[in-house]
Amino acid sequence: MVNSIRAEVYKLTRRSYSYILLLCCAAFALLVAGLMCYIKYSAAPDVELINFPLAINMLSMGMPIGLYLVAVGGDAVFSEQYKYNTLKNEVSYGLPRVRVYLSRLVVTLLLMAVVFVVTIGVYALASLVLLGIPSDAGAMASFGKNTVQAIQDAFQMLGFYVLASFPLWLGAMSLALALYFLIRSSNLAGLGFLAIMLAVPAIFDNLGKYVNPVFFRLYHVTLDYMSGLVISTETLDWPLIGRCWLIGLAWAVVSTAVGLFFFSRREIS
Amino acid sequence: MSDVILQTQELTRRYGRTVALDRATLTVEKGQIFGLVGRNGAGKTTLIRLISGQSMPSSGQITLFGQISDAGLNRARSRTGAMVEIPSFYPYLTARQNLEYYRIQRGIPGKNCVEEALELVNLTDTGKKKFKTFSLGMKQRLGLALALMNQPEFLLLDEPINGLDPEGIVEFRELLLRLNRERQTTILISSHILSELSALATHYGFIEKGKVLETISGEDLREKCRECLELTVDDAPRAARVLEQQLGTRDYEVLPGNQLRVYAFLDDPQTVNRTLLEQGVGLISAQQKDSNLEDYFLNLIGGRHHG
Repeated sequence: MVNSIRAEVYKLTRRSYSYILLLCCAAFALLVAGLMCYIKYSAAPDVELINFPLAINMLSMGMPIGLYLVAVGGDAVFSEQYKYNTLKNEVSYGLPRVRVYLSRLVVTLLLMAVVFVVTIGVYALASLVLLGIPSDAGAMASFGKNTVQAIQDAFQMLGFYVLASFPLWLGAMSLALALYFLIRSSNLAGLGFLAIMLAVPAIFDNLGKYVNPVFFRLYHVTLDYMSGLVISTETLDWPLIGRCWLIGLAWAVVSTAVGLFFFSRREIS
Repeated sequence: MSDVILQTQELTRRYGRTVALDRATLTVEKGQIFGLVGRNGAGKTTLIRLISGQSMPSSGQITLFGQISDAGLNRARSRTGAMVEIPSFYPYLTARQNLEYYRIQRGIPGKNCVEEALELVNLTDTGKKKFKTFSLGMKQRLGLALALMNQPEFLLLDEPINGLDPEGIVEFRELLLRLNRERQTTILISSHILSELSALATHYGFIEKGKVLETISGEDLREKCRECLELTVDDAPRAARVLEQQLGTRDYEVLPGNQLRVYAFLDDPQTVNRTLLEQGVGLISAQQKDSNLEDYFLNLIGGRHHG
């Protein structure tokens, strides 16, 4: 397993796709920080309201992006194996398919961790430089607490959002990878992922509203719904974190089990 | 310890209603170069894909290095090298990077094996050239390099000379013969270029419509393909007696249907014909025959054996 992971990392670090993904995420983080800076300096009266702690607080809004970004990460790692027919080189050497599958899952997780750290790092650094740390008076006006407390609280909430979102990302990532392994075309797999992530919750929501409220139960276990629930929370909600882990891990386990089941029987051409 | 490297028993692969491989049974022993002969779509690739684990059998059994369980077969496959259909690699990596990726993945210690494999197939000077810019011949060579990288005991090669230029074909043939001679590498090779196969193989398996029609050693095949006088007579035992007693030869064989193959008197067939007639043997037909692997195969799939 370690060899397979090392090999995937070797391949990934030699593929421009991974660097472009990192660059795009970093550029996006810079863009958001830049936009906030522009607003701060073009809206003179409330100049103190937009500052570093606020930028960190606003990160929660970006958490659902991770839910969809994992599909791009999965695509980078899976590397269109069906298009290039490279899986046969692994299978014919006798590498167990479980190992082939799980190594991709682990490396996608590693890649997404790097993407996360780089994106958050660039965003935090840019916000710090461009927006600055507010004075105690400014912090009091914005957050009703002093600067140190405001920053501490912002990071605490960031930790909470990440803790709650991580299992949801993991569930989405497992789903994306299962689809890449099951569907020959990476584009179709990507579309399938979007359909499951966006269309299915919308369908359950509407069925719950117009057909039978029992469909709400299904809607409430979708990753999209849970992600929305997380960002709408303004205080540390530990039961919610527990629910996120339960649902996220359930998605991860079921997706991986289904993906492995079909991949282990799949004809490799 | 058994010298059997591969054994398939009643191996069958169905795709819906189509039977791609129909109860194929064959044995490949250590040191053999086993040539799979068959037309396009006969089932050669299906058989190799089943052995290499790319496809699952519908029924039947594969024994590789004595292993039959799924886990055992996977372990056994690490002692093989396979090149099935068109070699496939990551297009954005160079030849070295592609091999290095598989070296790491397979846990092969030391980087020397990558260089050695590239040297074996004359691909050391590709530098930073990406796989996507390779010619078909270069791709074939890289595919072979990957198959050889782990110094396999058993090589599975499916149409490996497709895309190679004449010089490449000769080098490839010499390489396989060298591996077989020096490392005792057992080889299962399929090709529809029968002249190439006959220059390599020590044993043959003939496949048609998913069925293994016959397996035969190169020696026996040569014997069957020997130049001969093929006679159809009214009384084969009597003709045999005439050959032995009147013409003094035992270099013949009796086939079903009152047929005889005589390997003597090839430069004077009239003597045989005349003597048989003089001794009262009715001669229905007589013809001189000389066949090669291609003729043998064509006659086999046509349902007719001859020498």
